This record gives sequence, C-alpha cells and structure tokens, in this order.
Amino acid sequence: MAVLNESELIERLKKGDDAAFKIIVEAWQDMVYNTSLGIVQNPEDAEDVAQEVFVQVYESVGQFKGDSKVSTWIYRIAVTKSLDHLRKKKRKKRFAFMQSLFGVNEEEVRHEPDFHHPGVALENKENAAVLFKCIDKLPDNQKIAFTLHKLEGLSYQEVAEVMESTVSSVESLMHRAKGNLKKSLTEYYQKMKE
Amino acid sequence: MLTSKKCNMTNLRKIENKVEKTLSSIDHTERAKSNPFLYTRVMASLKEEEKGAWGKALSFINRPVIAFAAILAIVIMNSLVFFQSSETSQQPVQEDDQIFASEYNYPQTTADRFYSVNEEQ
Repeated sequence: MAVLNESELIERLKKGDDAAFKIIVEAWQDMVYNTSLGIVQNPEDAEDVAQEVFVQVYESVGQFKGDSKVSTWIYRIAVTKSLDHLRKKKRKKRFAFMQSLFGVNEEEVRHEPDFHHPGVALENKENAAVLFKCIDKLPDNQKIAFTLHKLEGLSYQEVAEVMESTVSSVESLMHRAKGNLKKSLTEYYQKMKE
Repeated sequence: MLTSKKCNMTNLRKIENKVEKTLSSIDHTERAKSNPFLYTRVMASLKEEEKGAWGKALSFINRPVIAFAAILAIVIMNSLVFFQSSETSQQPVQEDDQIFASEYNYPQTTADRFYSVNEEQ
C-alpha cells in the first residue's frame, strides 16, 4: 500500500472512479474481514459486515477529510458495523426466544457453535475457541481494544487512534479486558474440573 | 488435611497455567483471508441499493393508502378550483370592466361609448 498514494486514491474515489475503489477494496479487504471476524466470530457474518463496510466507504468517502490515515478510517467503519451487526443479532435472538416462550416460534433457539479462527495455529485451536467465547462476553470497548491489539497486531497508539481515545485509556481497557478474561477462564476451567 | 490443601494448590496452579496458555493462544495469529470476490459482491450490492432507492419510491407510491390519498387530494383540489371559478363567474364581469374603464377614462357602457364616438365625430 505504501507504493500507492492514499490521498490520490481517495480523491479518485471521490470523483467516482471505480478502478480506485477496486484498489481500495483489494488493499484493505483482509484487514476489514479479520477485524470483523474477531468481533462477530462467524465467517458468514464477517463477510456480510466486510461488504457493508466497503459500501459505506464508497458512499461516505465525500465525508473523509484526511485527518486520519485511510486505514484508521476504514477500521472505525469496520468496528462500528461489526458492533451494529452484533446488536442486531442479539435483538433477533431475544425476539426468537420470546416467541419460543409464547409458542409462536416452534423452532428452538439455536446455540452458536464454537468459533475457530482460521489463522490460529492448530495446536492452539481448542484453547483459542475457549478464549473467543470469553472475549464475546467482554464489554464492547474492551472487546474492540483486545481484538485490534491481539488479532490485528495494532499498537496501543494505533488502537487509540481507531477508538478516538488516548493511549492511557487503551492501556486501561486492555488491563481490564485481561482481568475479565482471566476471571472467566478460571471459572470455566474450575467448572470443567468439577 | 494437609494433602487436600496441597492438592487444591496444585489444582489452582494447573488452572492458572491453563488460563495463561489460553490467553496466549491467539498471539501471533495469522490474518484471516476474505472472499476473493468481495469487490464483485460490493459492486452488486451498490447497484442493488441504487435500484432499491427507486424501487422503494415506486412501491411507496403504489401503496393503496398512498394512491387513494393522492387521488382524493387531486379530486378535492379540482373541485375547489371548480367551485372557486364558478363563484367568480357568477359575479358580474362588469365590475372589472368598470374599474378598468374608470381608470383609463374609457366609456363605461355601450351607450356612453356610442355618445363618445358621436361627440368625437
């Protein structure tokens, strides 16, 4: 991406250049997909979110003023869309559950299978699946900080830029996230022992 | 008593180790690859959205309630215009003529016009 001039690409996209848009999608699609996959923890949903992210990029490129890096702007859209997707999914689940209580929806409320990230090394798959289950229970901002740092390999400074926050608050979020994860993992393994 | 305490301690330590191992299980994870046809999907979705905007407008207009309300509004407006125009047609048109005539010193009735023409001659 360093070879390509980001601002030039954005200017071309603002003029409706589809070729520039193709370059943007191809350059950042894995980054967007990996981020949303870490948050929504479902490959099909992550693909839908990635699609929505680039539709949003295309439609709102006029509002991008170049105050931040293009990747930071795209990360922000990806995070927002992923969280929106999770909220919608939770709402649907709640509605289906209510319907099943009143006998309107005879289908039983399905439980999500374990999530296996395709990039995790084979020997860590089992542990990673347990960890992802615990990550899913974290509050949104802790989940975002943890996912961006651990899965996307962003530094605290970069995470702070994406979250429009400070490095110290990202440090605090990461500290709390690790604490919460330790707690829920300990509970999980204690239950397994019993 | 002492052995059960020792057992508990080793269990706790085992769990702690397991927790640490689990926490580091996603370190150095490779980035997941997205669908190679994502661009095509995005473009299709953008085109559909474009069509969708017109489709939404058409379906809104085609809704029976909206269509009926629009027809009703047209009928009401037409009848209002009709009644207004019939009211104005009932008023003597002469009034306008008289105002016009008085403003420009033009003979107001046919008889006046006849006399004025005769006077000129």
